[in-house]
Amino acid sequence: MRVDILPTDEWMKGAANAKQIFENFQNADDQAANYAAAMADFKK
Amino acid sequence: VNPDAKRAALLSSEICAENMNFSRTSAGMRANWYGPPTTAAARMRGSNAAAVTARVTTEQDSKTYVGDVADLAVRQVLIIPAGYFEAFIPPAVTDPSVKWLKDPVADPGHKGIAVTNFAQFFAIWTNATLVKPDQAPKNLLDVASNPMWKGQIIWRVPWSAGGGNHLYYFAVQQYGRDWVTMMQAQPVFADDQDAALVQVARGEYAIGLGLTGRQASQFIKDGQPIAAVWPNDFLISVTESHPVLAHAPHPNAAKVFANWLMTERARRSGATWGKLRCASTFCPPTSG
Repeated sequence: MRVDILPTDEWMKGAANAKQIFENFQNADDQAANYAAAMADFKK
Repeated sequence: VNPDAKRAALLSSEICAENMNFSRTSAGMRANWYGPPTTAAARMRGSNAAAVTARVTTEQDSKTYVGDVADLAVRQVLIIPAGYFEAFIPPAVTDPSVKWLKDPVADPGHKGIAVTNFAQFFAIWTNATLVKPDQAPKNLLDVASNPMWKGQIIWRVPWSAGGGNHLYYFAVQQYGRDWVTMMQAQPVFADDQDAALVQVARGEYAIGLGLTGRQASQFIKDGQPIAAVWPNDFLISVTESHPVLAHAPHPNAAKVFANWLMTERARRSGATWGKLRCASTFCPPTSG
């Protein structure tokens, strides 16, 4: 992803300084497992 | 354009400012927006990706086709059966004068199943009255480890689709189970990310996590005490697409709309409601 392309609004510009950018591309099975793990960790 | 198909039905969880501009600029065509059928408010102010996915899946499985175009994250499109979508690469994508943030054709087969038309980045949202600049967390480890934020964090639920889950997924990868243990003492959870940002702006919570901040531009213009902190450990992005649905009742109108979403006017429209659009030449910093 290009980081030299600045966003539009002032509050967004800090996004361009990110050292690492991650996007979640889990497959469906891993995603379902991840939801279950989050539920076990946090849903009371 | 088929003159009998001047309306494209868009399945979306978000405010569809694009629709309004689309109808103004596209020879009388309209995109009817179908939000999740939850509440009247949800039709105007978004629900969540899970609801849109469920709607698309239900229509396709039952062969009851209403939607022409869906508003879904690229990642979500890629895990839904490809047969639910019609491959379409909008001609606007091939405009050589545009510098794209990343290749807009996002599906591995490069067929146009998923075409990225904007990117969002998740800030740590703070209430500027409650969180002074020298107190602001610098990253997600600060959020979890500082006891002063106990009960002061509202986090979009991590156990379903959306920014709350992305944060959980990557924070655990970065910091391991210790991060989970620390965070278990901290937050309150929210299903509605838009309502959660309002609660941060009102001072009900000091910190909001997993929120795209799609109303933030307006809040800031209105003088609300809300500020984005960009974490110095890692940043989470979500790219969004508007795939044409298989068996769309108005396939020509759907394609016109999907193409229009890749144009300058559409991206400027989106930029006014908190999206980070994907083309540099269309979105100089002063636009929107």
